[in-house]
Amino acid sequence: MTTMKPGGAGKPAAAPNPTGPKPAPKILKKGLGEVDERFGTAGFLKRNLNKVFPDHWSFMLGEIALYSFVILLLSGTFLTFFFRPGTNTVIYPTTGNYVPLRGLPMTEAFESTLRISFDVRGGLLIRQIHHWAALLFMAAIVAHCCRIFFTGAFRKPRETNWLIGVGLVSLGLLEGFAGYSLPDDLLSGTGLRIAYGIIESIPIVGTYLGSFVFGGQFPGPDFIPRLFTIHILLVPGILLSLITAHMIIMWHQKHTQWPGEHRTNDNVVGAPFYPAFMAKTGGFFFATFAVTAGLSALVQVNPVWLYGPYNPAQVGAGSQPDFYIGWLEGTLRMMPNLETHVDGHTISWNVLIPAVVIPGILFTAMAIYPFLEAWVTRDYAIHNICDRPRNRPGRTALGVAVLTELGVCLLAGGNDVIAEKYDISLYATTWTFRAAFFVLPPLAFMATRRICLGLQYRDAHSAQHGYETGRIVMLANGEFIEVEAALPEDVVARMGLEYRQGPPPALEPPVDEHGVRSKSRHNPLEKVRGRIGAFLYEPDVEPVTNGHGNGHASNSHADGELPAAEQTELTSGQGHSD
Amino acid sequence: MTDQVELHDEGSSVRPPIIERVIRPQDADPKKADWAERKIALMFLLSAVGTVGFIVAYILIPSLSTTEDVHWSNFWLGISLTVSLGGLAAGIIAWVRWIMPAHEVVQERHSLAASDADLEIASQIIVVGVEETGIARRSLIKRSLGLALGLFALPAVLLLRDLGPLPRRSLDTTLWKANSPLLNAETGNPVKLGDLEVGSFTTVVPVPVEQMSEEDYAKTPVLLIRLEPGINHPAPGRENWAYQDHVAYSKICTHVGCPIGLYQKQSHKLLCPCHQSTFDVPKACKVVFGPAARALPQLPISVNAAGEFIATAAFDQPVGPSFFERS
Repeated sequence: MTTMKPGGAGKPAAAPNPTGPKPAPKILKKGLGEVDERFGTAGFLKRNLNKVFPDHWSFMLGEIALYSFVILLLSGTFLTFFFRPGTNTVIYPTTGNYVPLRGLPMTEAFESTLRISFDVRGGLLIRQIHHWAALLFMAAIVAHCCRIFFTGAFRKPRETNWLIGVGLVSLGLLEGFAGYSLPDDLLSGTGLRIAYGIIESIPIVGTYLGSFVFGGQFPGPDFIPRLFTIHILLVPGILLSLITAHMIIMWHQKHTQWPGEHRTNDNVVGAPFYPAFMAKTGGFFFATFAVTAGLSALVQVNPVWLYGPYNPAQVGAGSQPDFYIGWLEGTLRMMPNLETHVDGHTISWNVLIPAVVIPGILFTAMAIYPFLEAWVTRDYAIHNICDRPRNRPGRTALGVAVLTELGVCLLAGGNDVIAEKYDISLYATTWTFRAAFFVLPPLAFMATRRICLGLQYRDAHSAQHGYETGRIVMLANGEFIEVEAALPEDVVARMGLEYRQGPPPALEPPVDEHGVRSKSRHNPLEKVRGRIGAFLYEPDVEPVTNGHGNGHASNSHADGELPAAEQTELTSGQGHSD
Repeated sequence: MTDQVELHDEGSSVRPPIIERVIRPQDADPKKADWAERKIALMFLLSAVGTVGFIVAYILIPSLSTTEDVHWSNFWLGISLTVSLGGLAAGIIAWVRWIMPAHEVVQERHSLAASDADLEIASQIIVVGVEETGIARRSLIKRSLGLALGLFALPAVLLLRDLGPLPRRSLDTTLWKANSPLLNAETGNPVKLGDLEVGSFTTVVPVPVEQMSEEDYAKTPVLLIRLEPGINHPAPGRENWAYQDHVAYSKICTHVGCPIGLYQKQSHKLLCPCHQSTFDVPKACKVVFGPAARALPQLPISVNAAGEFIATAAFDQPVGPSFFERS
């Protein structure tokens, strides 16, 4: 089909407006033709090379996650060439490069980790790159997930990709835990002991599950090899296929974009995939890799040789898991010691609730949230424009409340470190976090909602009345006024005021004009819908007149230097929605 | 810097239409564009230098015979790799930002949904296909297939059975039994009366650590603590479980099984460093703070004729975390 090479525009030509593309070189056309006859490539390229990608820094978070995953695959493959996932006891050779552990018994897993770190050139670097990339992967996923949540990018048609994303977060967490448990050092062994204890707390099947997963009682000779297979084959395989699906769906549905001039729900404004976006995203890969390499060169991570080999009778004080596990450590520490004894059986709420129920609730809530919000707001429309967080105060407040809760849990997971560093009583920190667990999220919710409404109000106000220029002008009658100027059109367009949530739709009257009682007003489910809706909707902060209410702007028309017609034009800039 | 233009198609379908033309200084001035090119080239050259540096560092620090060598090897390999990758990253990104056009282009989103007619056809194809299989009418096929597929799932589950033994009573017992010696876990020597100072403790095991399986060792460690005289308040029925102010309790936390490593000498409390469960030693190791729900199991001890500590019985309850089958 296409016979033109998309050239011209890509050259650093001084002329910004080329008159038209030159014909493509014959050799390229012939080569492409050969491929096309076999695979139909030209049609694919024509459709996809020109695909437009909107540009914003927050759209890069997912890319960081993707590239950290690629780095993890590369560095992880290197590590498998040297790592031995065995639990047989070996003696660290007296010629070993790490002197303090010479002659000590340890598992093959730990010994081979020492060898990677001290005998293989670049081995320590790759190990540290692998660990830093894992931390970056999880951090980028969490940040990306927050971006999607706060901008409403999970809404129709993108619910499936949100669900895949929830799967990726939980699998990433599991993968990270499996990874840092493999070296069989004192820290990771303690983590596994806790994991076994958590499994044991599950009613009815717990002890069976623990025995099957670990191949017997803790620690079990089979567990490290099993964990290895899970860590290098099973979970990465699932992650890779989910990421592939995530990308294909994103590509197919096209990216969301921020509100702005020329941007509508039905177009995409940005840079073409080829060559600009393609090159830039390639550059980001190297940038991500450079950051992990730099961290690995300068900042030590997981120095297992300092922890020593695992010993079930020992534990290091101040042991801390990686951050993405830390919040679960916090819930475990905060939970009061509740246990129920029924008919010769024990239910360990003190472990079950913090380690199984709470993460279960979190991930389930994340998974159902898009559907819940659509149901509550009765919004089943296709959305391609990102919400500005302030324009959805309820959702933003909810997100901030959850993040606050996770933050409390994460800090509680390090309460011993906090108590030691700041010389506070350990038990006082626990009680503080217990209180914060219940008090801070509602406070965060209320504060965030107020801040969002305030910001919304300011946007709506400045869109209508313009901004204060700081210029004081004396009028002919001697009156002093401050000149207000209308905001430029593109600034108003970026506020996305027409995409605000607004107040809830009016309820059906209890009894309609024919005297028939409304069913929905008496449906308990509808009541729930209304109650949740009360959090998600917002008061109408200002009667925004959607661009046609010039009367609102008239009281600020003190600026005599602008022709009235232009002012009308500028203040109506928000009317692009229709 | 930005110069807004009307949405227009440039008269060809080669590139997506420009909706906002962005003219940067280097677009208007070829000299500035040349400067940008030179800066980008410099970044790529820097990357090449980094790569050469990596090779040099790899060769120059050949043997990692000391931790110092490891440190410097990691530092120079890492820094050169960072320069190599960072130069590439900066060069490519600068190339995109400085040389490639910065115009905003626009593309229509086409509805992903098909027309109603196509939707109807697609639905009909599915219906017709199901009719062609005859599955709705031929219930024998449906039911027998359901049975076959349902059974087919079982072997997969069954194969997982040998992942591990059934737990049975394995969690209830430890190696401790009557007359087990209390051996120092580090040295393997029996602990004798008088070995411990007042207010100190040691970890003891019934069998030398090397002779135990990891699974036995993981639940066996016991803390032998020598309290100040007269402060021990034995629980009812355990009056003779201590020996001359020496008490022995399981070292495995009843919360999720961490070894309890911290003994606060002044307050006579054991603290689990994992989740801060705190046990009051003179009061039968009852929980005074933290998430653990059960007191630490006590091991009854005495001293034999040789003056060495021995256990007088096994633990009267399972050690370690609670589990469903436990009363």
